[in-house]
Amino acid sequence: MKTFEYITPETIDEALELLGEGAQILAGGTDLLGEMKRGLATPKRLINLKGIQGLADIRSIPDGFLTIGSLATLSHLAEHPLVAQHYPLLIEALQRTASPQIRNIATVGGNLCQRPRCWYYRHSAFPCIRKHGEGCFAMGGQDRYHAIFGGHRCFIVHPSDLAPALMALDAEVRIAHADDSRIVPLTDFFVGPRDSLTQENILTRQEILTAIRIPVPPDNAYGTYLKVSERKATDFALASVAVSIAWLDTQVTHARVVLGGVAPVPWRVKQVEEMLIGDELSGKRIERACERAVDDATPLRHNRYKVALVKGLLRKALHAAHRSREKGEK
Amino acid sequence: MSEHWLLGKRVPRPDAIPKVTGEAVYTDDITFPGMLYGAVVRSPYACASIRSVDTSRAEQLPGVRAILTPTNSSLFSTEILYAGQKVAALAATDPHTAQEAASLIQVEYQRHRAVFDPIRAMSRDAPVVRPSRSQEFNNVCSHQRKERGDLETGFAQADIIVENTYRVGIAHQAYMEPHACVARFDVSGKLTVWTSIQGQFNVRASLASMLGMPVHDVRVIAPEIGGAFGGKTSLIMEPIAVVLAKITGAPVKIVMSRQEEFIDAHPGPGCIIHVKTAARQDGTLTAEWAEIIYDTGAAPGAPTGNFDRTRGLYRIPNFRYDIYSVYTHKLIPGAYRAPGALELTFAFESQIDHLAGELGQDPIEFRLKNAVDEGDLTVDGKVYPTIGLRESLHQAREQIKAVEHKPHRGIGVACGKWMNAIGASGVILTLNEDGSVNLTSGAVDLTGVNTVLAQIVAEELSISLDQIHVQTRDTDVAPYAALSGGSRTTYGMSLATQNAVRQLKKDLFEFASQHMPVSPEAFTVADGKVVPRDGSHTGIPIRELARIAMYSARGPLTVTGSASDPSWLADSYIFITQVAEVEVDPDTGEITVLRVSSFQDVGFALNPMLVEGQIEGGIVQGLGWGYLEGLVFDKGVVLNENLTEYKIPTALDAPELVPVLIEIPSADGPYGIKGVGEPSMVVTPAVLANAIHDATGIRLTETPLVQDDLSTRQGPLGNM
Ligand SMILES: Cc1cc2nc3c(=O)[nH]c(=O)nc-3n(C[C@H](O)[C@H](O)[C@H](O)COP(=O)(O)OP(=O)(O)OC[C@H]3O[C@@H](n4cnc5c(N)ncnc54)[C@H](O)[C@@H]3O)c2cc1C
Repeated sequence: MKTFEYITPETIDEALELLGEGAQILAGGTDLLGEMKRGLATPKRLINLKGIQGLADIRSIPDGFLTIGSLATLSHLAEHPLVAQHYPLLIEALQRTASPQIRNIATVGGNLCQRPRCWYYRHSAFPCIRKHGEGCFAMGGQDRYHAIFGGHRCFIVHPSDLAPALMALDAEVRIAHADDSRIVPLTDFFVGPRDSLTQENILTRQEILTAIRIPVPPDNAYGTYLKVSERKATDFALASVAVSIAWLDTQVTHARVVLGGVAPVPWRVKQVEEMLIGDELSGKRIERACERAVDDATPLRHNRYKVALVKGLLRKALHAAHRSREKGEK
Repeated sequence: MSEHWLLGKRVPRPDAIPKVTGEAVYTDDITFPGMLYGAVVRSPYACASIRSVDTSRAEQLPGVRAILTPTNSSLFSTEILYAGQKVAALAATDPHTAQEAASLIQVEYQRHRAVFDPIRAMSRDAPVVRPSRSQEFNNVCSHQRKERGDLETGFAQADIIVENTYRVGIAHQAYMEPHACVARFDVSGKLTVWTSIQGQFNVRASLASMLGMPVHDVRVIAPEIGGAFGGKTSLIMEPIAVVLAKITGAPVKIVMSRQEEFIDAHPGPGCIIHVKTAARQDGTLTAEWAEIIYDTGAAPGAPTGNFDRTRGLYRIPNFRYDIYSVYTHKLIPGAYRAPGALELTFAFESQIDHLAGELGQDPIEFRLKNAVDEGDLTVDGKVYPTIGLRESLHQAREQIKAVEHKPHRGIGVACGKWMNAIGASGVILTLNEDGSVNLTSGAVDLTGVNTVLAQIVAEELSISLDQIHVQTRDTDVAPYAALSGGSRTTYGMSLATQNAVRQLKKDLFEFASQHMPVSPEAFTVADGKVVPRDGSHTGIPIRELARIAMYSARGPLTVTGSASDPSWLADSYIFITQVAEVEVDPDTGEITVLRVSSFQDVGFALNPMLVEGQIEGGIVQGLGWGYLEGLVFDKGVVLNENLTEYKIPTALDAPELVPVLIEIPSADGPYGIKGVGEPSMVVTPAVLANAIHDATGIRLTETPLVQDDLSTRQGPLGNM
């Protein structure tokens, strides 16, 4: 293990000043420590955010948004009354994330910024392209857990359960930089391998993710998060789906469908959202939506099962949405 | 078995509390001033020759005390046969320095062509891992054949033949505590080793022979052990720690990391089973043929010797089984709880289920029709005594009748067999001056054996349990005990304890007859007293006799007890039937295991709580190996070398567990007991595969079952 400097700043400004070449942010450390032990991250300076007041707060603000400080733990978020009231879909995602012990330490910001779980990327014996090496070992190798969408020279999947759920809720992230801070829709936050082979989001070395904002969902909205993993806990998604749907009478007026565990980024399927809006959620339409969702899937040797899994999960989620609307009517 | 007052009772383990509070001392808790820490350099390649090892940079690192390489130590070889093989080792003043030094050692390799699949390894043009024992095939490590009758006739008589190939993956025992050891020489040159091991006397023998020392100059101490399951039967790091301690003159500790566990311990073996089973339309089995190919990795290790111990459940007049173990460039497997049984049971019990289905017969009735009975022959031609196979099938049938049928659910049934060993077992029993008793054992307590031995002593002497103190002591103090494994520990140690305590009673009765006008044979014990059976005297408390003896010419009452069996296995046949209920999600194909019930002949449950614990744990481990687990390799390199990616079951994956104890006493076991440490995990993969088939119509033939293409299980399914 290499030695490093460890600093706990008290303000965001201080933290921003400490950033730079060789510096890395430490939140809960549930991912970063593993990366350091395996030599994947070799920071010269660790900036521990846990000394910054208020960075873990969860608040509703007057303009109708819920603001989640990036340092809020996953447990804290899952137990927050406003979340239970407006965003049950988030609770479903959080309950299927890792284990209670990890959720007590892991932060929301860290979850969105966590590094890929690809076993070639994580393994010291495989100098893959995401580690500035060459090629992708999953291609033609053990690719059961890899991407069926959006792969390009690298076939990682984004490991987060929270990200697809937040994306289905139209979340935005606040990014602090020494000069200014900006707000970016979560849909623009993640970066696939076509844009970068070494990072999974737009953050530069000079930036910190400080908060996540979620708007109040539309009236009559229904949301659900479904995940399939091999093991029932402490396991990443083989595939997952986050769905948020709203109606006017029987007509779908709002639809978000985001897939997890199947692409290098949380995979929003806009073509499905568009075909759902303006119509009833009939069984036939659901079947067509499921087919549509996997139109552009390009499975590898051993992960074709994910295509069927996505369809199955989406079918289940949309039927649940449909049932909830019918119940609401009664 | 109501003649016992304490045996058969649910007595909690006294060692449970120190374990959950953290008070228990494990090997890694042992430290000494000036102790050094060992680290190992490993080959990243599966097949290579070492050209050179450059230790110059590591030597310059402050804190490094000794470095072992193929050049200066016979513990290491220049020929690499699997990725993860130890290439060099060193000792340094702290673990971080040791790790850093290891990373500074430069090894130059010449890589060679490797072979990983055992079937591929058998072909004549495959790279040679080690010389083959076969004229016909490359890389054969062992071959044996079991045969009876005439195969051709058997298959000709059949109306239906079912043929399948099953594959079982390599599974790590995933004990909580990784291998750890500390080695220390004292000034007189005597060696003491603390190690996390199932058998301390085995370690003593191996180290003494390695060092050319008499065994009494080697002391092995096994502190509390954090699980083993067969994975801690042989030495891994001990020889290295000992040599480093010898060179440096300082105590040396080596603790394996979880990653090292996955790449260089001795997991359960991979196995390929190609099998053909035949039956007549009326459900009579006529023949079976199988070729069983074990992947034994870079050296002998696969458990090929247990075929008769685990098969022979049905009357099959004609059979031939060829059992091979084959070298590949992979890590070396070893024992995992009932070694050899799980993989064979998975294949053969899937076959039975498949045949029953093809014949349109109920899987239980089909099994009952063919089940062996008293007087039938085992695979190796021994004669079965009274056995519990039918009884367990009957009880399973009742259970299945009570299950409510629901859509997307499936029920499976499968049977298994195991036999326990006995092993050399000795104990020392001392009656203390206040009437309490110390029992000293050399057997490592993995399963609660010490609790049971205390029950036996208390039962036999009719004194209360809190008067008995059972301890596992080290090789300098305790009498010899074979390793705790092979389902032998409670069996063998109970025999020894029974012998000891009965001898103690005899001595007590003799001594008592000097104080009462009664002949020794006329005594018995009751309520902590030695009393004449005919009630002619009120008797004398054992506590009193102990005190008098201690200060009389008799002296302390101390006895030893021993047991063993030259044939290794006891005449103790353990049969199990399990029933699994699963649910399949029609949208995703996801499987939930709802309940596993196990009907196991345990002979007699000395402590039902501990027996149930063994059964429940076994089912969950069987579910792990069969359903979730398996090492994944790429070019011989283990990809899932940690407990995030190598997925053992969590509490949420464990189904409802229903252990049902059947008690058909063994003829020669103490109190009629049979071994219960291993057999419970044997059946679970088969029963799950059969239940999944019932729910979906799909027969899974490869473990881990969960990694089947889920899509095939979706939609309106199976035979519901
Ligand atoms: C055994 C196991 C199982 C898991 N299972 C799941 C699962 O099922 N689903 C799932 O979604 N996740 C799972 N995870 C991942 C886990 O959720 C993440 O490790 C965790 O959320 C990361 O949060 P953290 O606060 O610990 O981040 P850290 O480890 O502290 O940081 C992670 C990364 O993000 C960066 N970072 C952190 N905070 C910020 C910030 N505010 N601004 C900029 N960069 C930042 C760090 O520099 C680092 O690179 C699992 C992890 C483990 C170990």
